[in-house]
Amino acid sequence: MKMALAELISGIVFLIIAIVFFTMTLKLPPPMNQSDLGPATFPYIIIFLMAILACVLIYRGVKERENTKQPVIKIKRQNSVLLVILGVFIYINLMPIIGYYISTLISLPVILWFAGEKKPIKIALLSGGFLLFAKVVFDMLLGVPLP
Amino acid sequence: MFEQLALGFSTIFQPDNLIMIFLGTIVGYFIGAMPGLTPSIGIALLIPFTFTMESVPAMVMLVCLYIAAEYGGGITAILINAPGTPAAAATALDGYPMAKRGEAGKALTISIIASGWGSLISSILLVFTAIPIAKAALNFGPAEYFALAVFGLSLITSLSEGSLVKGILGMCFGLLLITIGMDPVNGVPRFAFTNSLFGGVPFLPALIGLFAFSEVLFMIENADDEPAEVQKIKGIGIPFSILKKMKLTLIRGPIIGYAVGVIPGAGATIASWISYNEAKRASKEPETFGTGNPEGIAASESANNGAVPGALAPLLALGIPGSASAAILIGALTIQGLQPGPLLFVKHPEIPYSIFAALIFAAPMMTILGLFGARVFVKVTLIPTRILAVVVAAITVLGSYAYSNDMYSVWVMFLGGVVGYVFRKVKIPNTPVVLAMVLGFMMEVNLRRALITSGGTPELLFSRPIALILLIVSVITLIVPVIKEYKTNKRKAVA
Repeated sequence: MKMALAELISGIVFLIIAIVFFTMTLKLPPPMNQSDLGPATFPYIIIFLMAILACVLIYRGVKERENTKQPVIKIKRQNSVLLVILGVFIYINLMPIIGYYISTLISLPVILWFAGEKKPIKIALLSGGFLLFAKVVFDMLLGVPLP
Repeated sequence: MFEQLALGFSTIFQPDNLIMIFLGTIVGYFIGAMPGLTPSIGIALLIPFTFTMESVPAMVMLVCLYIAAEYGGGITAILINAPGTPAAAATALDGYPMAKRGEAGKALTISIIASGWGSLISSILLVFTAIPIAKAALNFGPAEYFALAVFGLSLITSLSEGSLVKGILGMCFGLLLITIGMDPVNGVPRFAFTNSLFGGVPFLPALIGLFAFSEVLFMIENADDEPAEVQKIKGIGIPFSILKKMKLTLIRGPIIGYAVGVIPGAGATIASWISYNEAKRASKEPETFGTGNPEGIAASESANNGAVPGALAPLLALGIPGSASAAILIGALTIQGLQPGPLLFVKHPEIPYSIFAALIFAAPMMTILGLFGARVFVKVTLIPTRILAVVVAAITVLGSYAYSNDMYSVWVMFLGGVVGYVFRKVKIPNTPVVLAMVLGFMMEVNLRRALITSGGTPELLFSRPIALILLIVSVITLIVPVIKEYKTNKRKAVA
């Protein structure tokens, strides 16, 4: 993706965020007394600034669209990156359902595979080693009650 | 002051604190030696281990990690021309050529001794400057604190890594995040459309995501890269004659490092380049810099390690983070129920004084550990990136869960990581987001308090000299880069 297009898209996203927050800020109550700014003023200032800068980004994106010398954003090993994100997403979803240890036992080898590690023994050793580390350090030493 | 410092030393000599100093140092060396893992990521990853620890051991461990990670960056810069930290880039200029001609041991020794020396001198400077600053700051009211927060945020211009617009957008994003939750003055819920959001966006999981999890995704991108070959290290020994020749560089480096480190937003990387250039300028043989001149290594390393205690001065004395690592350390202090700033010296003097003592004690200890352990620390580069990435990802999940023992923090970390990755891809820096999350609360609360005090008029903000000066400096800090960027763009358009 070309940088101008990325700037155009990020500008639009920031503008949408600003609009969403603006509509929510409208519903906030007024200040309790005259000397206080109230809960809405500070967010209004930020939203206003964000909207202006988002427009600058959009303008820049549109203006630079035809520029052939602009940098290009590349994601190397795109599939692996997306699979790792997906793997961690599923892992986090599984944690409260089947517990930390079982979800880690299932997810860690899968994420390692997605990341590019293909040796089963290495995957097993790493997953087992990490679980042992979590049990000893977090559960036993630090007393963190894992789900 | 000296009484308190003596107390600080007696505290850190307790066995648990000594263990933490040692652990922080070792982990810091490994983190620093690993290209891709920066001191800020290291601190973010280690914070979850401190949740259940006492304040002093937790903080001395993190501070030692911070400084040792800056040391560690030089090891890989010298041996494989891959600076472990951005601040070690200048070290590679002369370190790698020395390693190539078989003088790796000598280069490493100079780097480690200069690092240790730099952090020792800078730590002493910290003791003598942070305490008076904190004392002066005790008289600060809401107007001064608001102005300080504005000043801290204005420095985002120097952290914007290229595009000012993107840097300020990142800041707005961070500021908007901190408005989620209860309004700090009236207790009115803002933008809290789920129950979890009533407590706001937890800072630490967000920054673990922004820094560490986003880095995991970058590591996955580079997972096919082959680990660099590590040369055998020969000839580690203290080259007294060489050190004697570069005594001026060794005096100048830590002072530059400390002075640059104190300026919020500057930091170790800028310090090491300034020191390197100054050493080159002052040298009788400037042409030898970049070809393997040991003085180049000493200049860079003494300054980048000197910058760490420098960065701790505004953090401890004023509660202002000047760098990503300092912002994360503020998060660590908050977790311990401590508020950084002048009151820390009054209410919990054991914390700053133990940190001072740990820094002074750790400098020679780190030098010894560095000299004997360089062969081991460099081995970390042999770990395949894909494995390191997954281990870091697993620690981020575990660490953010440990933050509040619920899944909400884990989701914040995950989303923060994905957002941080996308931001970095489109060149929106993450540091302004984190800085805004730390300073935004301070800014809003003190602005509103100041206005309430002066009956709703901004009079108080402009009638207090320190507040006024800080606000003027902030405006200048913000405007100058805007004009510069405008002029550069105009020049580019003409060309």
